[in-house]
Amino acid sequence: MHMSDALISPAVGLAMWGVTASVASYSLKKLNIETDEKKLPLMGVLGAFVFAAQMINFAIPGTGSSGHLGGGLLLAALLGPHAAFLTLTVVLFIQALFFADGGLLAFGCNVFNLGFYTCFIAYPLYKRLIRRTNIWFASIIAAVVGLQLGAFSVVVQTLLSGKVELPFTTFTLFMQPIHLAIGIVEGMATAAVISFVIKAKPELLTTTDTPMNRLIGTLGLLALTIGGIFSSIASSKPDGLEWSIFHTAGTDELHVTTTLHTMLERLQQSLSLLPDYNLKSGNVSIGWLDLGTSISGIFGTFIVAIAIMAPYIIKKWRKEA
Amino acid sequence: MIHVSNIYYSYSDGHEAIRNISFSVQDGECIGIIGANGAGKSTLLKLLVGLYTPQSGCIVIDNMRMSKQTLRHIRRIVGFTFQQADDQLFMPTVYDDVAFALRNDDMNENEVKQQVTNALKTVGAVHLADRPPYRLSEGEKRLVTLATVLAMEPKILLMDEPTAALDPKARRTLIHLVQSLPHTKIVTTHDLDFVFECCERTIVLANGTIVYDGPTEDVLTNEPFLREHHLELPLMLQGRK
Amino acid sequence: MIDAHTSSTQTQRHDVHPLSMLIITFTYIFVVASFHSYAFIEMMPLSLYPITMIVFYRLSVRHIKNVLLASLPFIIVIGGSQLFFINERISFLHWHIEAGWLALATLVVKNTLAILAATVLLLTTPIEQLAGALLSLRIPRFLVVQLLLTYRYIFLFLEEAKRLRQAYMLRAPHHRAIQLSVWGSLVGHLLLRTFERAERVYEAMTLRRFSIQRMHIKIKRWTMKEMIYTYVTVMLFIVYRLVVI
Repeated sequence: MHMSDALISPAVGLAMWGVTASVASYSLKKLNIETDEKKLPLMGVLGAFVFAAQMINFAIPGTGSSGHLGGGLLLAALLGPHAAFLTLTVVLFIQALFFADGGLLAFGCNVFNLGFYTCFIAYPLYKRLIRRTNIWFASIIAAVVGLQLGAFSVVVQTLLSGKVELPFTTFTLFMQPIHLAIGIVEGMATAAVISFVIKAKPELLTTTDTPMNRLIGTLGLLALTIGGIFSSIASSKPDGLEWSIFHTAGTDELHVTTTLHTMLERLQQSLSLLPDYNLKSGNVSIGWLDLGTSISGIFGTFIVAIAIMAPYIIKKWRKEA
Repeated sequence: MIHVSNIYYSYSDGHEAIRNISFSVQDGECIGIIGANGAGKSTLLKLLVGLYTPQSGCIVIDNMRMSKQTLRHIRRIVGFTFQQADDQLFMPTVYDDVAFALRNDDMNENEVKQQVTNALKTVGAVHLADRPPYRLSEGEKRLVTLATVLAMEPKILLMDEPTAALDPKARRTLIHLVQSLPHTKIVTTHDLDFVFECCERTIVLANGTIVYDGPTEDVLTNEPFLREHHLELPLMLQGRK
Repeated sequence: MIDAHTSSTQTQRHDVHPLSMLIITFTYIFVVASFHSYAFIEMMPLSLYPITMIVFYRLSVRHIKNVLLASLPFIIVIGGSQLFFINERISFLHWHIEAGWLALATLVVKNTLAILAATVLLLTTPIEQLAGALLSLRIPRFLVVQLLLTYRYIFLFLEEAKRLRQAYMLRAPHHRAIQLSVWGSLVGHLLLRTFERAERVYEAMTLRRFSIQRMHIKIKRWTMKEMIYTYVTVMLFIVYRLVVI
């Protein structure tokens, strides 16, 4: 599933842009394009191939419906994880811009959910499985794992954003089974193409080994921690997280107090960036929304975003200069 | 066999590809459709096999008016070969590719084998049966695409630029093959010598309309007319002047 | 949708600086996304920006409509769920209404505005110019070249995919979709051709001594006028978000 701009908050959107940017620059470094410059046209053309392959629907065995390829796992099998991640980044950018699939703010989320897990978790898993079992089993398991993680990320990102009211449990129970089905279909499609390639031109499949690397390990750990904390909060409130609630139903005022906003507000107060506003009492309300909360929300967002992007930006700028 | 009356077709971007075209084809005729690039030749063929639906006008094939209901039946009668053979060959082996449509009709394997072998024999490609299509030469691919269509035993053959990208020998083989097939045939091409040798009747398209429909001999010797439509005398006639 | 896009590429292009468009679009989407879940009324004035652009540059309404329609089912499902999960009532202007409906409406508006803005960016900025703007934003050259290469081949490949599907359907008239066993081989063939094409592209590149560093991507000059225009527009969005709420 593509994350949409309407569902995420700027903070989550920008944070995920930051994460995606660092994974992309890491992949760029790993790719070492000078030694394998043939990859440049190959990646571009394969990106276009993914669009074409997505257009050709196939009948899902045993059902009346049809599905299409996502293509991430196949790209990883053909290009190796780093080049596949970069190719997917470009594909998703074009999808966001040209087909309004996903959105520009949600772009980082989408690359992470669909690209990162597929290339750096599902693909290594696939490589490991393929040594012991057959292609079909390995592809299906890998695709399912990748998409389950992606789907869970969508849940976490949506709820952290707090733009919609969805109980954690319900949303998770809705997303995970759907993506189980999608994962199985994706795995079958990937296996179908890979088995053809093995017969026709086995040398096309990449042989590069992909050791679990420190950055990837750290990022994976980070994602797990966030997910862990998140689900523990969720389970402590069985009714679902009250991300945005009306404290005062029936009055004209509406407070939006998401956990994240509260957190950012506190952060922002402690940094005393806006001493002029009496944020603590939060009484500067014009119309519906508490001005203090919203300002802190916006500035908090910037702070988080800049903090995350800073090392990357500084490094890039230095290199260019 | 085929009656086309007053069809119009424009693409979704508004480009009018076919404008008010009418013609009839008798059983067993072989018709060459020629014209400049973008004149509407391929579009016309795709209309005849129902890949595109005309915005107005009607197409009657074998006494059936083309519609959603009759499409399946019409496609059984009409065989279509694509300009790029690669588009048509997608099964792991040549045999599977020729058998593809038959197996889709739930024919039993013995009959399939019979018909595949016949089709491959007709085009002289029996020896290619077990080869994967992507390893074939362009000429071999062309013969196999023709076999995939012949296996369905159509009455009408539509061929989109069958001689494009063929070497002289492969082209000669194809010409003999086309001449020997008893089907009603419509061929779009830029290969005017091919038209001269195979087709007794020629239709010239320009900007989506028919500008000539009649005996091949008359039009292919009319140099000024040909030049006006981005064509030229067939090479075999050029020496005569 | 794809047809709509191919046609939209033919509509005339315009003279807003690509970098300005990129910055403005991002700020706009950023501001739209920052509104809370019930900001239906507050977001309305923001629709002025895309509408002005569409009217002023006479952008293809059909393309915009197609893209919007394609995005609706998903957003309606998510938005529809709000009717079940929000059981409060809320005062809206001077009525009391179900908050869930307001949340749904807000979500649809947000989605519409975000997509409109992205589409305006797309329809006013040719891809080569966008590439230049991305470069000046320090996006690695390698990725920008990838973007251009992929874009170059998408429409070619989509056509090819369409023909493959047609060829299948002609010989399997009663199938609604391609069977998986055949699909693997069909897409496999497409993939092999993709590799061959990549090989040819690479050969063509090396013959002309291509290198990523030397690949010419024009970066349009960012004039003072355009900078001011960008600054003013961006400030308008931000000030609106901060003050008018």
